[in-house]
Amino acid sequence: MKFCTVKQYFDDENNNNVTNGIATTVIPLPNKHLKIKANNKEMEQYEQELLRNVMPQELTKLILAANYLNFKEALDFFCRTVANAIQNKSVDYVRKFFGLESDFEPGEEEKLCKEFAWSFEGVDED
Amino acid sequence: MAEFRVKEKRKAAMETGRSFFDSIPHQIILNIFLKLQLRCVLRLKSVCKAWYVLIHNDFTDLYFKLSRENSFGIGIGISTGPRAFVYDSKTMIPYEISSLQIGGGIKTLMIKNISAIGGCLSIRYSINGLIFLSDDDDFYVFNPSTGEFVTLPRFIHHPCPDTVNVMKRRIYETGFGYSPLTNQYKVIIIFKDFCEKKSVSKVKVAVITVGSSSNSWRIIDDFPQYKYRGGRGTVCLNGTIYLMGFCDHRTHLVEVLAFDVADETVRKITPPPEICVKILPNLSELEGKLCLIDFNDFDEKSIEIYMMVEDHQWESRYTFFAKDFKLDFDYCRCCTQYQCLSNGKLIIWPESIDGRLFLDIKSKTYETIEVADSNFSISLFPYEESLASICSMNDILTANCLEVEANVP
Repeated sequence: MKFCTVKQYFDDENNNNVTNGIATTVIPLPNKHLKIKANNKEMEQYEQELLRNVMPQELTKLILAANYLNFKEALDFFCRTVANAIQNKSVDYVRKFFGLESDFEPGEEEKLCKEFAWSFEGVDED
Repeated sequence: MAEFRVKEKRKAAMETGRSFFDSIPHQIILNIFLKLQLRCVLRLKSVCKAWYVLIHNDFTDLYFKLSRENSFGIGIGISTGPRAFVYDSKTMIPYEISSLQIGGGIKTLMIKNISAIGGCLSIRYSINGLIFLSDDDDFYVFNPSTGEFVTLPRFIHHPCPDTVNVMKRRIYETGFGYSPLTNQYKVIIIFKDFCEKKSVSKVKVAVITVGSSSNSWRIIDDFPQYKYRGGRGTVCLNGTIYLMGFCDHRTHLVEVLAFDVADETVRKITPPPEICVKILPNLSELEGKLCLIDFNDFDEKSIEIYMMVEDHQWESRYTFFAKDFKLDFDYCRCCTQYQCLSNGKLIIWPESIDGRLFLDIKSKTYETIEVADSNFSISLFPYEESLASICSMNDILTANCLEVEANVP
């Protein structure tokens, strides 16, 4: 069913891929999903609650856990959360979110901005 | 010493960054990008070199592959605001562009507030994923996927020489075309300016190159003085914009005109002699060639498709008999529009029914699709998403593309 890899996880005691903390978050999700599948708004609120205080690094671990457990709904949900978090944010914001540094030469970055000048406007304030 | 500490911090940050990003499989990052609007992702090319490569190659390929697989090949333009009944005043209305998906769903590409007279905007033509929209007063060219949006300079009347009468304008047809030779997009307007009560004036063509720094309308005086019925639209193929005009008032003979986008010259093409001249046929594009869709009212009512082959000759290629479709609508009303899609379907949309008919040309089967509420004014047009850019790179680098606006979500 949804949890082909869970059995394997419990069987494999030396598992480093999914820490306990993450497992407690991810595993109850399918039950909750089934309970309130019909009610989308409730699901949304549940999702908001769940991830209100989760830092990007935690989100990465959640994503990796969901991926390892082959839990498609959770993976999709976490990806959607990341997407919502960075939708319409500035390039700097996204860099900080993912912990990335720009490795462009100063001239290169400017050229890029000019290439898609219109997409840099109307961006949310950081 | 301080310098050393800063370097260490940077190194640590980068290390975290590297482990953060690198640990997530690319497939998942692409999954995240797919949940964002295309224009947001394009902006993220500036984040770092790794993202530039990922977005430029893998993401772009994936996005357009999915777009092609899921799209029906039709774009929908709807003004979702209320229709204003004061036809002379401009009102801002929200205008939405979506792509009809296979299976009937709709993918919204862009929603933007646009100023329009009487709240009436219509999509005139689309080529290479760019859309030409107008209310016959303002003219807009944009790419709804990337968000690039250009408002063309106004095409201003000259005042009447006697300075007493008001100069009026009648626009018969507007066209949008692309020339692969010069890599330019141009808009043309077939119009007549006349002072009130004095109608001795010529039909002319106004042309403008879209997205260029030398952005002004040029008027071509020498144009066939036919009678033009607006609303039949234009087709652009191989660097030529095609349109139709009645060359003889009494016999209702039509002529196809070909406007060369690169050198801005006009030539005449005689249509097939068999066409029924009671109703103006439709021009469209099928299998990469110009085609004429004619409704034949003679013995058996039928829809004929003629393709233009070499030397501007025509071949009758497909025929659909009305009796085979047993459909209860008036095929021969002037307002019935026909258009071909690249997936081999013919759209028929008569004014009398809400749905649109999609005829598969090869298999001769059809389906009816309801497209939104008929209270809103809707434009349906053949459309596929693309990354095409309106302003050429040269103009961007010299920052002279003054008319470019942002698409504010």
